[in-house]
Amino acid sequence: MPPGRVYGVAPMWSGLRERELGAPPWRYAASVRRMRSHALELCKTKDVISSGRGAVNSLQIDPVEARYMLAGNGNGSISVYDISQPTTVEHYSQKHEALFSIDKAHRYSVSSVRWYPVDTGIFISGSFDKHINVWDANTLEVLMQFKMPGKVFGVSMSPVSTTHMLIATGTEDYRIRLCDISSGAFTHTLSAHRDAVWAVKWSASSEWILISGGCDGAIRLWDIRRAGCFYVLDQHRSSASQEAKTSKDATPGRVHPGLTSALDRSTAHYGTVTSLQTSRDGHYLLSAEHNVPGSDSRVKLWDIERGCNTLVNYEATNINGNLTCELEVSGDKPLVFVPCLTSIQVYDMLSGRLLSTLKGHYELVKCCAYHSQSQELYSGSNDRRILVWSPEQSVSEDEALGTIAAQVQADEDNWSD
Amino acid sequence: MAGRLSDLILAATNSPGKELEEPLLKAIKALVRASDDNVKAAADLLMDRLGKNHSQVRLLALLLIDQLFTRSKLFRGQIVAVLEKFMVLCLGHRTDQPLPAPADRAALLKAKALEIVERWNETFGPHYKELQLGYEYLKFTLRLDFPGVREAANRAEEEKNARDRRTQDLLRCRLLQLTENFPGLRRDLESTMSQLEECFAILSEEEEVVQDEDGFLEVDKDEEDSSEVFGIQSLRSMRDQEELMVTESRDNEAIFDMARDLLKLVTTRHLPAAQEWLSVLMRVDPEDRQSRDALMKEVIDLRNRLVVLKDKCQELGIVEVAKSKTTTDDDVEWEEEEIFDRSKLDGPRHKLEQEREREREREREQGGEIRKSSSPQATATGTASSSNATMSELKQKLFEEAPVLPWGSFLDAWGSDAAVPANNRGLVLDNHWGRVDPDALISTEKMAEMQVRASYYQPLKSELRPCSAPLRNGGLCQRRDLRKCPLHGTIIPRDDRGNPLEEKRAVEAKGKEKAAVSPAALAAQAVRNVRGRDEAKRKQNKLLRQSQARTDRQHNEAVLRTAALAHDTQTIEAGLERKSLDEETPKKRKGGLSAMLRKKETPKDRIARRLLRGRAVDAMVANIARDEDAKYRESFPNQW
Repeated sequence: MPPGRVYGVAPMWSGLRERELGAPPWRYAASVRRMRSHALELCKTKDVISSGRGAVNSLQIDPVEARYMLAGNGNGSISVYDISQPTTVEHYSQKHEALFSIDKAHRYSVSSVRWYPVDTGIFISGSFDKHINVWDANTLEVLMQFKMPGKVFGVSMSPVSTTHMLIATGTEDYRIRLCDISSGAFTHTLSAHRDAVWAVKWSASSEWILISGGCDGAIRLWDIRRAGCFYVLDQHRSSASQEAKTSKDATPGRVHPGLTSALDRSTAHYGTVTSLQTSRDGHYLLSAEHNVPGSDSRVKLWDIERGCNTLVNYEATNINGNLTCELEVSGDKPLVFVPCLTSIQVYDMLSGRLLSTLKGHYELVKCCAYHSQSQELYSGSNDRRILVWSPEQSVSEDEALGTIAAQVQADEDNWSD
Repeated sequence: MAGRLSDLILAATNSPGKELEEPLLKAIKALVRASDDNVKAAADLLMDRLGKNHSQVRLLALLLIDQLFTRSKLFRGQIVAVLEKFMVLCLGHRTDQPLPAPADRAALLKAKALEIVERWNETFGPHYKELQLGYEYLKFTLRLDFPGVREAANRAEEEKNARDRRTQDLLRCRLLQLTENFPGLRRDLESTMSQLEECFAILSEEEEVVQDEDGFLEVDKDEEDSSEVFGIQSLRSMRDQEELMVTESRDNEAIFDMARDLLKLVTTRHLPAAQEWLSVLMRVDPEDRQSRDALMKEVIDLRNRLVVLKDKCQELGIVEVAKSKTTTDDDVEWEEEEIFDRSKLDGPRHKLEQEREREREREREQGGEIRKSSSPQATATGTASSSNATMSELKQKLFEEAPVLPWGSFLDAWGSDAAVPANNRGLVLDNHWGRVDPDALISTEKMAEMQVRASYYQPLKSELRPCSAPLRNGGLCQRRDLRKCPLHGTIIPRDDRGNPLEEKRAVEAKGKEKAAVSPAALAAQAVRNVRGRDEAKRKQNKLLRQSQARTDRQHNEAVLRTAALAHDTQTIEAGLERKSLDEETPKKRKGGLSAMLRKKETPKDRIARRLLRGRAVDAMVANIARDEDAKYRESFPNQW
């Protein structure tokens, strides 16, 4: 096995034979994608020149073209990078400088930025200065501003919504507010958490379902058409125990949203839920926990449909961000990228096996964004850099590196004595 | 294999020096080069050594890592994988993991690490993104001070280029000027030169006449003493050369003056100017090289002609006016010296020389003043100096006798025995108390009394002798103290090997005394002698034991060391080197790594130890308390 290859991934040529024999092309494409995504390493040729002077707190690649990357910085600025077209190409290295960057977009650190899911004309940003701004990406002006009762930890817009334009916000306040862009007002105030809400996430399958995680360790599911939260994830309610239960009493059905007090108090984590991420098909939910003294930080995988803990163990995660950190899920055999101190750990989502550890940052990694088309990962950190992780480079690229950069010493053994 | 590698690395990183030991390094390199496993093992071992809690070990490990890093690709990969840890251990930029103890080594380690990381980034940065990132993090985020070797070199180069460009611009400007002005300048030069040549032509006509006369004289002389034919011939040829000098007479004075002026013009203006043009032409880097070369050729020609003319002038004895006037005396002296030198020569040649001199003298007398330089002053000074000679002898004698006094006001009236007017200001002063006598004199005695020489006492400076007690290293103690050397006691006269002279004498004296002692004293002395001998024996035994233990220790160390070094080709071949290594190690070991960590005891510490002892402090406190109490009682005696 050559170094860098991950066990269990077939080499590229193996799929070719299958294709000849009549396998559908998407399967081959998927296998190639999978292989590439398993072999991520620090990209030698692509540089994102981070413009911000502050830490990179939040990254998102736009869902429409998958071309523009939005970054919210710790010094209150927001910048947008074109990650497909380099601004300068120098020998072998492509440099991606910011297309634009808005200095002093907020007074304090920008905690979360999101693209408007429908097009790249609008983006939203939430900050510790208690404001949520809606920006016009063409004029770089604030279209709308929402004043929140406390620091904003997370904002979210539904990727599948067709009927509403609501921004879900997690703030210092225990109430979740939904801000409507079309009217510029708060449409909902959802209160059930007992402490600040750090993470909010719209479901990837239903436009009405909102998931929220807070300092109290609870993850709540809301149907915004109805009052109150309709489900609270319980860490002790695993798929195994539920199977046993369902076999006993034959009437599964949902618990009424009124919720018995016991269910209402159940928790998903012992510590703070810092981050939520749904799988692409909306079937699974990942939640990350902040390292609180007395509890170890871990990532948990939830089956949303059945509302239970899958008990997948992601080995040795150590999430030590004081702020929310962002998880990322990729592709069809999904991988999970977990920022873990100064490195990023890559797990297989369903088995929880640690595939690799991406080391390159020098301070806490705050966020990452996965580009599913080119199988590249972008990560932002407190050391003010955005790093690009790409699949192993092909031989030709390496050769180009050697030949073009003639002024650089060749990377070979050099034993003079 | 791995065991030997680890031994070698341990040995290499365990020395107190600032550099790696060359033979060890060679051995390690040879071993690591042998296989990939060894490279990996070396990387692990070195990272382990880098984690040791001693900056010296870290420093040497860092140097070793650098050596291997620049050589092996695999090693690079291994180190780059743990680059973050490496940086933390070498630079101590994390507050929770500062660099460990010996502070000087820690500073050195940091400086070296910065230098090395920078160098690595320059050479391998494009291949190892992690390196680049680490470097940028250190430089831009932590703002560590990198030495910036390459940048500095680039900057220096740029500065030099700019300077060159500026000078070239300037030179080109001057070249342009020169090419414009050259025809005019050249005309000037040509005219001067042609004038000079004309002068020479006129003079040479006269010269011929003079030479003819000389020729006759020579013939006569030849006939007179035929025994020294050869000598005289050579003399004549020499003289011919000398006689090219045309004597200046009233007839050709004008021509000489003219020539002198021209020569002055040549030496002061034309020659330096030509030289300057040449230097400009040589340094300039013009667009049109051909014209420059042509110009240069012309300038060189001109200069050569000028030089030739000048030489000719000198041959003819035409000296610059101004110069000759100022250096009159020097010229005379120089001639005298030469005469003196020549008189040293021996044999017939000497005679000849003398004769020639004499002749020259004669000629000089005949022709009056050959040169303008021989002025009447010269003779005057000559006589003066001869009369001075006797005076100076007396003076010398007196000077030797005279005491040397420091300057003082008493020197104002030295040796005068006249009375001094009391009112020497030249003003008539009215005194309110009565009349003033303007003619009052201060008598000589009074004056002498007033101006008696006063001086401060200065103790006689006597040289302090060195203590010169024998030292352990074979030398003598060089401390100079007044009476007592703090190390070797009272200073006593010693011989040149450091043995006291007095003692010898005392022993001798004792020997004499011994003749008359009582038997009791004799017995006591015997007992004392025996005890002393026993004591000496015991001491000697102890010393022997100690030295034995020391040699054993050294031997053990040497054996361990050779075991670590053994079996590798390099050191077996270089047996000599190993021997030298073994020899020097015990010395080095004295100041080992743990000694480095220990704090050095300073005089302050010693004083503190004495002064801050519990009892001393208690006594001090008690004293102070008592004093204060007493003071209080004195101030308020009747209060309760």
